[in-house]
Amino acid sequence: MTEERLQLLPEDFLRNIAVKEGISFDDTIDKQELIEIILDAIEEDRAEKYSSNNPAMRIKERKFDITLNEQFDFDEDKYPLPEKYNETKIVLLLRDPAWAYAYWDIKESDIEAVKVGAVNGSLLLRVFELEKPEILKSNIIDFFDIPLKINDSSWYINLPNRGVYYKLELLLKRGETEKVLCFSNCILSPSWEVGEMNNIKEMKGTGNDLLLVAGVYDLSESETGTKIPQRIISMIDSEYLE
Amino acid sequence: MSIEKGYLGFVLHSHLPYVHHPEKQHCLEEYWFFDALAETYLPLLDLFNKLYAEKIPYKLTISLSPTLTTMLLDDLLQTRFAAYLENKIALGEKELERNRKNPDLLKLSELYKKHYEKCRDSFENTYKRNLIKGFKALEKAGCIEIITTAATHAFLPLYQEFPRVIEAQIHTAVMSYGRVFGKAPRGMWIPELGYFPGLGKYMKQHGIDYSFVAAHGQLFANKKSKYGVYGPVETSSGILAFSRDIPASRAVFSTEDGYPGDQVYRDAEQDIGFDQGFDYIGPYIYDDKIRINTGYKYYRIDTGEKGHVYNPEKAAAKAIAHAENYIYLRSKQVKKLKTLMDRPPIIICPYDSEIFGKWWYEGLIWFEHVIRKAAQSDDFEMSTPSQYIDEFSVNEKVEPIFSSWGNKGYASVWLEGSNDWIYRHIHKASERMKELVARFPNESGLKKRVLDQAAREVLLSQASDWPFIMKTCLSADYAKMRVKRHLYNFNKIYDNLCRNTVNTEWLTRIEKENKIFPDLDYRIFGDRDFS
Repeated sequence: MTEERLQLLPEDFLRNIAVKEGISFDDTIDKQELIEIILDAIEEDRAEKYSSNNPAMRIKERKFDITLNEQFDFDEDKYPLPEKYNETKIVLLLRDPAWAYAYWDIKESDIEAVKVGAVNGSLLLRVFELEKPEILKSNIIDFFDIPLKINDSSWYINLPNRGVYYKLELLLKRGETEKVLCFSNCILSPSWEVGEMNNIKEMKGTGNDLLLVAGVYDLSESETGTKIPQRIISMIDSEYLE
Repeated sequence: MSIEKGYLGFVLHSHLPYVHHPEKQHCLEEYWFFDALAETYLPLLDLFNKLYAEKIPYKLTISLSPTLTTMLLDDLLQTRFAAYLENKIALGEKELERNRKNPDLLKLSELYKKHYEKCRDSFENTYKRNLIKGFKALEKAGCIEIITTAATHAFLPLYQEFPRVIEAQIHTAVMSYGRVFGKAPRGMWIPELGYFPGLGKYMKQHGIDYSFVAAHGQLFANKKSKYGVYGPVETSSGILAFSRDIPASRAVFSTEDGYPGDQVYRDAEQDIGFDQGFDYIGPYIYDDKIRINTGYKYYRIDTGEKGHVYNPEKAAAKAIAHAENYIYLRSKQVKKLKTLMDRPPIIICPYDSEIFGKWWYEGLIWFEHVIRKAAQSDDFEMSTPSQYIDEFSVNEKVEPIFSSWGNKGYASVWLEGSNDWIYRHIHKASERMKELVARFPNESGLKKRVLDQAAREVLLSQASDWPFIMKTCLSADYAKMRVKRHLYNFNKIYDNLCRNTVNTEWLTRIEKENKIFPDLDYRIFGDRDFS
């Protein structure tokens, strides 16, 4: 969004943009000040988004980068989606070796059950770490609980270990009594080490030259590469190809 | 294949999400497609044809997504692209006049105007508006192998728990490929290289022989393979997985330490669409008021100051030097690998096609000279995964792990705070689609049309592009709108079917808007084996 484009928009529209984009501003400021705040926020957002991408994703980003003037013409209510599907269900998605994402829906009747009785119930997410993909006593390595609010419907879960399975229980807890509302699917947290290896840095000279030629030491694929003024990629070759 | 040499396996992945808006006179997002055609696909086809005419031997793999092939064959988009080119040429005329007193700028105006005229000539006369014919001819000539990717480019690991989605994505892609190219694909590009253990079985049952994974997807597997990323591994399902080579990719991908960041190259950001006043540039931007890239760019990458006019000759010379450097490094890599392997290595170099031309303007010159120099190399030759596995059919059994080529290597681009809300709705729509198949297993006529459109809407909602744009791009509204609109359409059909009503006028309208996969059969979302 350019300043020129913002100048063309009515002040009320600009205030709506700022609210929609979560930009804080004082209600008493004038249009020009508001424009400057929006531009600062956009620039900050742009820099943050750029720095969180690796090269492959930056190229993909360019596919869709045809204008600096975002369109703010989408009416969020034009295509409404159901807020809930009135079923009790939980789904667990693996995001990376350290994090998973769970979303759930709870039937109205189950939610009412939380509120009934002298002691209010509460919701819990129980995270099982498993040797095999089934919750059997013999498979459980460990578990921990995450207390939830009744209105929660999703959670990012930190996975403590790699190479093990994770599965969730969504629980209704009242006093000492627990009732399982539903189980999630099971996920396997992948390794983030080279198979049969413990230390990538120790590979050189240990018969794993192939991996070094493949740039294994640089697998993070993030922007930490050395600046090379001549733009000639020599970092791998100079060290490992001789 | 010569066993004395190594192999260089270029894979150009070509994809755009389906953007088709007959309901509007013109649409900003259609410029994604038009810019890609003018800056990458037409020049790339022309380059390949030139090399073929000169009898330069080359062999590479191109994945063409079903959404892209559908758009390439669409009459409305072809007509609109022809108008887009006329507009660019008209702008060129004005630029010649505006820059007549500045020889450096004038030379560039002429260059760009000629480029668009060449595009028009190729589009209208060489390919008769049908670029697919151009790709087919190159495949027939033995220069390229065309492969496919998932139907709407869904990030498949996030649908692991919904096997019918994965089956539908792959089945529809293979059907679409068959309709367009008249044969079955041997290879499949997995969207975003998003692999998970077990994905191969879905590809295998549709006759796919090979695919690709991120390097760490293979290297972090429980078992270490003998050839590292320089040979394919056989997954548990029997398909072969080739791994992306990091050094070869990084040289081209990175603006920080790769070739495209050289300051002699053209700056893609500085474009007259953003610099000139509305009185001048109005007719050549979107709706006279939304500034967009026009393709007329006069400055090189530099310290941010204007005035460093782009010099195409110097840039071309540097692109050739970079091509020589790339070939030199690959030669060294192959020589080293030959001492470590008992069969020829294959270096897989996958790139997004739009790197060449659109993202890196001089990338086409670079690529041309890489191909020319590869043809003269004593150390390696260009090849394809198909050729390689025909020669080396026995490979180690290794199941790659969950991985992608996204930032940090897994799913965090497509699953984070800005986009995680979409999955509960898309997953639910996918389940409901399966439920509809169970309720209406053998429909025909109008009801089948309705059900087929429901399946189309679910597939279109699953494109990996929408969560990507929500996370990455400043303008996320279009992506949000697309996901919501496809799901809304699906839910409306679902509700109507529950009430046994059909609004034929509305159905016809959304069929026209989302007219992809004409032979789609809604039963692909069902439980029975549909293969």
